[in-house]
Amino acid sequence: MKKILLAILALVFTASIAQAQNEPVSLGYTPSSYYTFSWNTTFTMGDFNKWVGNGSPAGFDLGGRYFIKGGLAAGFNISWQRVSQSYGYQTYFGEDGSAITSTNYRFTWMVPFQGVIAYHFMADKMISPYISLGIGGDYMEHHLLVQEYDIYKTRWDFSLTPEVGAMIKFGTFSSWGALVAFNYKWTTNKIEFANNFASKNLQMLNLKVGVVLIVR
Amino acid sequence: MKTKLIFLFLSAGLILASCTKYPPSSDRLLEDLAIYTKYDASVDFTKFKTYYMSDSIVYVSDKDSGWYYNAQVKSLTGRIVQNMNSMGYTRTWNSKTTDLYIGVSYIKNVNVTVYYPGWYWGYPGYYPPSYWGGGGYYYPYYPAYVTSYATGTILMDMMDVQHPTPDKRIPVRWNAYIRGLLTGDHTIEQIELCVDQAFDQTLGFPGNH
Repeated sequence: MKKILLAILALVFTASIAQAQNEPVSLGYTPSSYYTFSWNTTFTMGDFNKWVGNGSPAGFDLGGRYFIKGGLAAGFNISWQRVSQSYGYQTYFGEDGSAITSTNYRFTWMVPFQGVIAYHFMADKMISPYISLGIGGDYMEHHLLVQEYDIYKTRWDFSLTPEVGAMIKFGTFSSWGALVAFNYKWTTNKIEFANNFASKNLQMLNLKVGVVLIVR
Repeated sequence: MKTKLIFLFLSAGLILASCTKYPPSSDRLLEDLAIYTKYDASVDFTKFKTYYMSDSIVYVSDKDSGWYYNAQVKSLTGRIVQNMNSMGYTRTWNSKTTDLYIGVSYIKNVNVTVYYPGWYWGYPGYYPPSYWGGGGYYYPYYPAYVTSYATGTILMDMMDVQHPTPDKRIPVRWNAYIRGLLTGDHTIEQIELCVDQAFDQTLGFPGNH
């Protein structure tokens, strides 16, 4: 999966560099704003990866950007994500003298919401690479499902998300385009289940692939 | 442009609305063994010396109940004895003077919604609490809820019969259930491993800290 990620990113940036070197196709205008809807695949990192090791394609992201000056834009992102994994026989020890041994299923459900500052290097071109920083928070639910038992903790957090990506317009006169982006996310969220599991500062990588609606 | 924006947001909303928080139940609810235990954290289990337990267990079906014994039950009760003895307890055949009474029952073919705790205390196979002068059994802790018992489930209760409360209730110091153990699909070795696990995961038992 990492190879696929790297290949996609390499393709996007190679295309944008090639465009820059060979008279990039210009739209003739800088968009005033754009909206994105993307499919989001999450790869957990660090302690989060010990909780759920699988990458998960269960996620969507909705975003908007408004150009302030030149390539500088501000906007928002709201997302929905879930990572999950099934584990074999393990024992969960409760805080009250209880214990249960069985197969268990872990998942974390996330609703991130962030304000975003982005800079587009070639905002008026067909392929417009950008870098951005998202600042905001998440609502997360960490569930440990042991057969019919659902043991869970809910937490709000603060999060930072640096991102690189590119907006690729489908045609000079089209108001639709594609979005490919890759980000690293750091949060203050943590997972704690009695004596069974503890982690802090959950981190993850996200790959976003989606569509863009460009407003002139 | 406004129409396109509305279309984009509506499409996104529809997709988001169709996404459930919980993964599909087929992914997460596997019908297999589950070993659940709970103990009274306020009691010191080293203070008990003897225990009483029958070699047979009680079966409960949707039609009747009674005593049950076969090779699987023999391995089940044998393993309970082995675990109890290894913790330093001594099995006694004097049910009147024993410190602990261990009741074991088996859900033969019912799958019912139960009101836990309480519904199975009156099984014919269990000694009635009045045998030790009690007016009923009770849990000094809040037992976890159970919505249903699957076929083959084993229930184990450890009663502190010599220390009834002033209102004559006999405390259950430990309870355990092993879901689906006696369905006939499991080997003797698996049964023994599950009983071992029930004892091993009870942190309050002597030697388990």
